[in-house]
Amino acid sequence: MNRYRTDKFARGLIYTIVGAIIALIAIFIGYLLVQGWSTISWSFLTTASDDGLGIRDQLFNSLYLLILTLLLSFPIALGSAIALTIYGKKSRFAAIAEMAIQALSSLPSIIIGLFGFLLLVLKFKIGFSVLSGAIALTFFNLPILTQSISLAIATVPEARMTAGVSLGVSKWHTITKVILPEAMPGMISGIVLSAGRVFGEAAALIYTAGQSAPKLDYFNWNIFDANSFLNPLRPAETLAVHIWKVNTEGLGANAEAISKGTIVILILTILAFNLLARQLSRRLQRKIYH
Amino acid sequence: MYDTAETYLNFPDLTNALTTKDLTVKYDDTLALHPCSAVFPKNRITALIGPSGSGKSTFLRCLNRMNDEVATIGGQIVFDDTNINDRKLNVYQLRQQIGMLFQQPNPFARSIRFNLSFGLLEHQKISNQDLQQRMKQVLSMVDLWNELDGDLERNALQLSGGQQQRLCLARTLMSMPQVLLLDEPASALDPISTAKIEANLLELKQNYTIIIVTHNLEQAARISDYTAFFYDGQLMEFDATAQLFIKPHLAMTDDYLSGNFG
Ligand SMILES: Nc1ncnc2c1ncn2[C@@H]1O[C@H](COP(=O)(O)OP(=O)(O)O)[C@@H](O)[C@H]1O
Ligand SMILES: [Mg+2]
Repeated sequence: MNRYRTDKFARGLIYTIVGAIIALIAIFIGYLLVQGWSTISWSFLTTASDDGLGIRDQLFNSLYLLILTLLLSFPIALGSAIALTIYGKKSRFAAIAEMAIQALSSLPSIIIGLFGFLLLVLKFKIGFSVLSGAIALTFFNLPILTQSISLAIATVPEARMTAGVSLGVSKWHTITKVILPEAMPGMISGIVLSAGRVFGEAAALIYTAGQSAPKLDYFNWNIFDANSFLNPLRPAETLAVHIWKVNTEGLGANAEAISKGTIVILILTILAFNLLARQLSRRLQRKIYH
Repeated sequence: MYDTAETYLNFPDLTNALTTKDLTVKYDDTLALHPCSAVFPKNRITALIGPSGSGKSTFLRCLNRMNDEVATIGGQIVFDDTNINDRKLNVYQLRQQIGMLFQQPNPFARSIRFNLSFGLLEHQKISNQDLQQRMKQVLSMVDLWNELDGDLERNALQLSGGQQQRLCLARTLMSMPQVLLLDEPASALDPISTAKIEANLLELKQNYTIIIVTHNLEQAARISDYTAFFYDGQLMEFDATAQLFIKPHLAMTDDYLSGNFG
């Protein structure tokens, strides 16, 4: 009887705490949404900030940087994850590398930003640019992405490798044709979740991608032109940096409205990433197992 | 303690599929297999028995070079007139010739079709028609074709444990190997599934040389033609199963068979 009561009490307590946390998050996000909602309009999303309130170019910059960052970090993270979880398993090298990755993942992002500033912007003279920003974000993203891909690979039973090898298939082909496909749902959700983090990152970008968003021409496909939307060497202020800048500089009466509206767009995009991650990995899981 | 200096190895005078000459295995610095010379007659079932840790798996895994990464292997393994314990040998080809089955069924988490075709397609080009036919053939050999109603698209993980193990057996048969190495293939299965596997093996031995590690002495007695008894990393006794089970030469073997240790 007593034990039953304790159990009931503990369960009630846990539900209360979880409920409180959920309520807190809901209030927090709801508040931000309500605050910024009135700013959101079609023209807010489709005009440049030079012409008024708009965040068109910041939104594009955020997406462009995200794509470049993923293109840079995914192959490296995948390679490291395979090396660490399969080839280097239990080796000294893997243990050291894992420690380094953990250290890197707890590095404050402002440090990565300043490192990028000193090395890429100044030393290599790349300047405040999409490229500098993407490389800095790659440093920011690599540790977490490597960890989540490693985790996804580690959930595939070792018996798959034994089976492949005993059939006369090389380790590499067993990895690419059996293990990676099976790890795919986990990898995708790791990628999309890390995309959310990258998308919202500001500190690593302030001194690398820069704080200005030159008005872009979305029909200029010549990547060497300063106003081409694809030019990787132009400065590129993102949504998160925009929020930071508008708030620190407090320009004009519209600053508050702009920042609140931008926050809404940022939050909604990141929430969308999270939902997408769940959907994708669930669907892939179903596709592979049935 | 037993005297391990005395061994009794009575190999039959038959065509051999595989022989070992002074095969040794070292894990780091410990010798897990003392020089072992054995002969495995073609198209027969040879059972490897002995207490846990006596080196049966260690020995078996050498025969298709599955120990390469974890151990140092000395001596010779002769298969098809060549020493296959040779660094320069193409182990991928070898494993298509010498298949292996493990204690836990280990199908890929994919369709039955993928499970069967994957290894073969890595090694040879084969028409869809031939592939289809081969799959039907091997599934029939393990009595799965009818049980599955010929449905190759089902995920292998949806099968029962016994069916999974028979699928794995069929999978190794796809490349038409000459030798099958089985490491306690039925010890994770229920008695009915075990009986089915045993029936399959008895059928298969007409065309395949089978070497099976088993803890189940009745199983060894039921299906094997020859039995090898291992103790403490040594091959102690080898004889026809009927002979070895009725009248073993070594006191040690006798004690093991009567359950005095294990
Ligand atoms: N990968 C390995 N690394 C080190 N020692 C091993 C390894 N595999 C087996 N051994 C050792 O080798 C001996 C024989 O083991 P094993 O061949 O698995 O015996 P059996 O199959 O007869 O039970 C045991 O002492 C075991 O601890
Ligand atoms: Mg064993």
